[in-house]
Amino acid sequence: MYVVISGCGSVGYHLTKALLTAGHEVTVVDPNPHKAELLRAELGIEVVTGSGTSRKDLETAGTSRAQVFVSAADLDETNLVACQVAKHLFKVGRTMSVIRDPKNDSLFRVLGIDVAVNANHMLVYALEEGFPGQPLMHLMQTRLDQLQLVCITVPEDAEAVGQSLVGLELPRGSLINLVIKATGPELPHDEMVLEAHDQVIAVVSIDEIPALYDILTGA
Amino acid sequence: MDAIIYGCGPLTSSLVHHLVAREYLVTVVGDDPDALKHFSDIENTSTVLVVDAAMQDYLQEAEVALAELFVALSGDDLANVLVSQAASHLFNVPSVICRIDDPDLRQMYAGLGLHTLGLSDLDLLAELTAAVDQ
Repeated sequence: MYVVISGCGSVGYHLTKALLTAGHEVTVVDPNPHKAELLRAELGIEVVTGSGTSRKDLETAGTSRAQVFVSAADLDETNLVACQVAKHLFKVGRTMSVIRDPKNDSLFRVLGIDVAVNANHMLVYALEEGFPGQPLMHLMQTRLDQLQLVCITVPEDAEAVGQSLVGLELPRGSLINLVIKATGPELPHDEMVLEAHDQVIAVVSIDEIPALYDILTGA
Repeated sequence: MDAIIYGCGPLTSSLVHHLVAREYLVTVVGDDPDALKHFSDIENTSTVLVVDAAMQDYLQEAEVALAELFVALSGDDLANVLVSQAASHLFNVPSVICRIDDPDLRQMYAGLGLHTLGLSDLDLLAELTAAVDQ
């Protein structure tokens, strides 16, 4: 596949390497001429010194024959405009972007950017989850804006310990998909009794995560 | 009627007076505290200081959803494009005007239905006030 990547900071760089390893053809557009030299020398790829929001520079990068365009610059506004230029002027079929402000998620989606990945979000989650005894893990964002897949570990002192699933009043729209018990994974059923250290994997809307968290971990 | 102007340069200054004279309540959103201070002295005008235009919290603070008119006038094409599209697609502001100086970008966004103005307009201020009066 031919991929144009705009913005080669650490995200762009590692993505470029991963795509090259997977056998894709990659051209990078980055405003820093020094970085362009390094990338050419290290990865042997085509680097256009310029801006991902410039029609001329994207033309030089051969964007019109790209199947995928990725914008990984620092600023949300740069990434948005770069993706829109790729999509509307060069008719790239799939545009993807890094974003910083989670609230821009919906704007990027409304404007037809196919994938918008929130870098800060993921970093904050990962750091949060590194804290000892932290029962909540964010596993993934689903295709629906508000729905996330999470894993919550039931603590020893939780009121939920010894209760059956049917007795729990789960937040509306949330769904327990799997419970990892000491003996192995089990599909949830009404009579299943929660035990300490059970890992509950559930789909829940972002707004309801705190409610689900309280039900499963509250003492 | 409520109007929000993003950007606090000389163009904004002229436009604020034009809008206040037409009985708009104006909110100026910008990143320069000194320039904003000057606007807060004008009657029927309030200001919101932003750290980063891409952070939509500031647009919400400026009550963009209640505005009839949103004008992005900063000197940064890309920021103008982002906030204008947010105003129009997320907050459903009925009338949105966006300054874009880069001719390629301006042509593209005009094609996408955004009302655009730019420095290439011979008399930008006249164009702007005409657009606002429409």
